[in-house]
Amino acid sequence: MSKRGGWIWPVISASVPVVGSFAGAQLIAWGIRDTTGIQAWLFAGGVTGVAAAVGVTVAGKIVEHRRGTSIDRARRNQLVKLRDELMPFASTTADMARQPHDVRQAYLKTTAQTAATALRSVVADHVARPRAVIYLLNADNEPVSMDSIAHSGRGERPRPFVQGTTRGDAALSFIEKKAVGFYPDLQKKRPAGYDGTMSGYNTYISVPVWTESGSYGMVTLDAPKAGSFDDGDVALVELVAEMMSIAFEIGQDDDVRVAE
Amino acid sequence: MKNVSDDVVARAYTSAMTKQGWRVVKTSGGYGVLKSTAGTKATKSTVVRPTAVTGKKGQGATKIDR
Repeated sequence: MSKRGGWIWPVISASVPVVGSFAGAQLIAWGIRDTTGIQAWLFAGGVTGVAAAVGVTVAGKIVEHRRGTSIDRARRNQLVKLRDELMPFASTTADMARQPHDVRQAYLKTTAQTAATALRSVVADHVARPRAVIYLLNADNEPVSMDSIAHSGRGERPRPFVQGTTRGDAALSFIEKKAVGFYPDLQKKRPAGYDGTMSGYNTYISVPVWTESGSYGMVTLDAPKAGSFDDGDVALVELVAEMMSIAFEIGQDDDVRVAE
Repeated sequence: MKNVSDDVVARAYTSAMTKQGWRVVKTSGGYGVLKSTAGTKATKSTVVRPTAVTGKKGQGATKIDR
């Protein structure tokens, strides 16, 4: 994101070396030819122009170097943080796969919690008060609902999406489509059929958790300030949703049965 | 234990779900999975399947049996 007024330094660093050196050279040349007694002033002006050009060029190189160094450092820190946050998620999922089938459901909840915590923590570096939520389908309820299994960050435990309500039907249709939902500003654009309260958030990203077996739920990330998220955040939510699909797949045997 | 009215309600929801083009199936893990009944099948473009699995699984098994 660019800061307001961020164009000033690029304009100065591009124009001063050109204008300063040209004007300085002209003034010095004029001073050499001058016979009116202002030679000293012309020389002083010329030297000042050249000095400004050289100074801004050197300063520009220093700024460029520092910016490059800080970007490189930030990138390294980001990668290390990504490892630190996603590692427990992956390790818990791997451990879940080693367990007997009857205890995997408890692991699923722990895995979902590590996923929500990791997502919120990575995003919290550049987004104020984010909230990450993992939902799963509850087939025991009639009508069926999609319940929060884990959440991390701002606010209370999110409400379930219940089939038969406008909000619930919109969410269930959304995960059936297996597409990414990204709404940068909910005041300007909302999903079709959206009946959310928007309590405490003005932007959200939502990605279904699915495999070729079907859709298991979804991962959402929201924040109070519109425009908080970018494409990188969408990619991160997609990655977490994809990793959650591993846990959902290994949490069951192949012999699925229709809910009664 | 369900009574008759529960079954009627359950059938009504199942019917509504089918009309919407999907139904929710309970997995052996205890949670649900939403399956599309509209006939469309989405595939994951990110999946890279090993050739050993996609091509010659049956053949290998037959050789072991012999």
